[in-house]
Amino acid sequence: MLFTSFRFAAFFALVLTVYYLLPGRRQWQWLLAANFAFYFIGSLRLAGWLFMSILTVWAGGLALAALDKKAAEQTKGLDRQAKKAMRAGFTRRKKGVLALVLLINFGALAVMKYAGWVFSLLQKLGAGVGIWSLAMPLGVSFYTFQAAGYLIDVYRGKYPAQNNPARFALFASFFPQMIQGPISRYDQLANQLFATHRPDPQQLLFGFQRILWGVFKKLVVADRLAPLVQNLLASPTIDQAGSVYLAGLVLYAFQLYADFSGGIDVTIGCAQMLGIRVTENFHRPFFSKSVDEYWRRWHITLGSWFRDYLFYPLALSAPMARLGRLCKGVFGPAYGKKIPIYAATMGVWAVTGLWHGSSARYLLWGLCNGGVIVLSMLLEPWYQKARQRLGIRSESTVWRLFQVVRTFGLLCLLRVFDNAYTTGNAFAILGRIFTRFEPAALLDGTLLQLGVTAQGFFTAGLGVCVMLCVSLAQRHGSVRGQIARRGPALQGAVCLLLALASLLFGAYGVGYNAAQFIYFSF
Amino acid sequence: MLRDEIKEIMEELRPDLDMETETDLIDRGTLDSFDIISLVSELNDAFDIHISVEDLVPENLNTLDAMVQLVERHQQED
Repeated sequence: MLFTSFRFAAFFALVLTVYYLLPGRRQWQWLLAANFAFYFIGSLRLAGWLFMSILTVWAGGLALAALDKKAAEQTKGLDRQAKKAMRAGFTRRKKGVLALVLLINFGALAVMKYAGWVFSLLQKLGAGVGIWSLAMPLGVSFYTFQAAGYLIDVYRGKYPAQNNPARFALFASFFPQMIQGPISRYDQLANQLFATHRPDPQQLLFGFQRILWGVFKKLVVADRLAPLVQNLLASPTIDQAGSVYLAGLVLYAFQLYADFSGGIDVTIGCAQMLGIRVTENFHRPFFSKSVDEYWRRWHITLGSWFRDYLFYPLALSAPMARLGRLCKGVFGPAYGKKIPIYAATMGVWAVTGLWHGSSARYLLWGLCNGGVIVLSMLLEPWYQKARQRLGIRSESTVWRLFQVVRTFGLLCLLRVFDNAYTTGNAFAILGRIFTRFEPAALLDGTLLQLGVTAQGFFTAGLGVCVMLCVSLAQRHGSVRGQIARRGPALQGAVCLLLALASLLFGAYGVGYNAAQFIYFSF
Repeated sequence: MLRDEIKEIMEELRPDLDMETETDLIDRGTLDSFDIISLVSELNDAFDIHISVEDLVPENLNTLDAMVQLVERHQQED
């Protein structure tokens, strides 16, 4: 069920109305029923997957809690050495439980995501196998990450396991965020889901405004630009000038942001109308001054998931400690300490790339991002020296503007691996940009033959300007708060304008169905 | 003194920070993930302890005093 469809609007209106008519103790149960209705209507396969995953992760959490309890009982009264040995035994058993449940969930996800790719690779290599692939239930990897985060936190003793399977199921399947995140943490979301919520006019209005803003971004910007991105960057043939491809990559940056953040706006808005605060997933990413900073401001919850559950354990693991000791002997103490961090960074980015898709170009995309971050860290002292020699102040507006434009440009170029038809095409596009730029092609009408009309460009361009202005205004706090302070007339006018703009200028597919969200498929 | 040693490690890692006045180092994002891993590696080496990934929570790393308590706890446990 697409967020920008009338079907979803009707579904959510029903959920919201009944939610506030029910007594507080029944609200979470109604939400759980709504979750399952959402999945059953959307995809039976997803519902089946959810059931398997909820059951295994919930049972895994209980098994971990039972082991903790047993360890506490059995170590009572023991001396320090015996206690340590006993605890080590229980830790091994806990690790076993954690590994088994994660293996079931991520293993099944990997089979669905990569089976087709592996079989086609084997076929290309001459093995006599048929193509076998499974279509992945949409949005499932977001759900798996959220459930896995809960289990790892229980393993780490961050909070107790949830005994009630229905309550755990509600946390694991909260429908507004299942399509494309954000990936919530149990300690931030669960208690809100189980609490009593009474209708709050301001929260309802703010939530509604956020939904309209998301729909505007999706329909007026993302879906308007989608045909050009598809016809130009994802085309099997490479026959345009470099300048056209560069323009396409810049437009793709705006399309992707509008699509993904627009979906997240709808999610956060729906949750807010239900009285639930969901973690923000974007923080004005296009104003980042480095690639590292950008990735801390784009898809924040996935980045923090990878940081807490993959980067930290990897960087502090025994193999990395051994690598550090080895490098200390070879490169000296300074690099000896840094190299394991660089290696862990590259490892995490390789996984991030593969999470995006089962193709070499995604792996390459991840490794390029990781490589740029590592290279930036390595070159930082030289940057500083060069800047000082040139007399440039790090806080000067011109320098900061240069950093923002440089970061944006670099990320546009890296994104070619994320969208090109094949890895070869990605390199061919980069080749065209650097060897056959031909700027005149930007003005000869080529861009108008790629699926977006002049009116379409104008509409999307206006939409991008509005998005950037809102981002700038966000430096001074919540834009909805700023509007609210100017009175209800402006609040009403903004809602009306957003709704009208989406209806009049939005791009609609066949049968007035908006295009699918890009991140849905991850 | 333990406190001074940790302060010295932090000053070498992030010379731009005044550790006596800094609070909410993690909550405010003053220390990023690379800083955190560098700090933990330094503390593990300097005090022969094993700070694990479970310890990487804001309450253990938000202030200099919290870091001192973390190291002291590990010195007693490890």
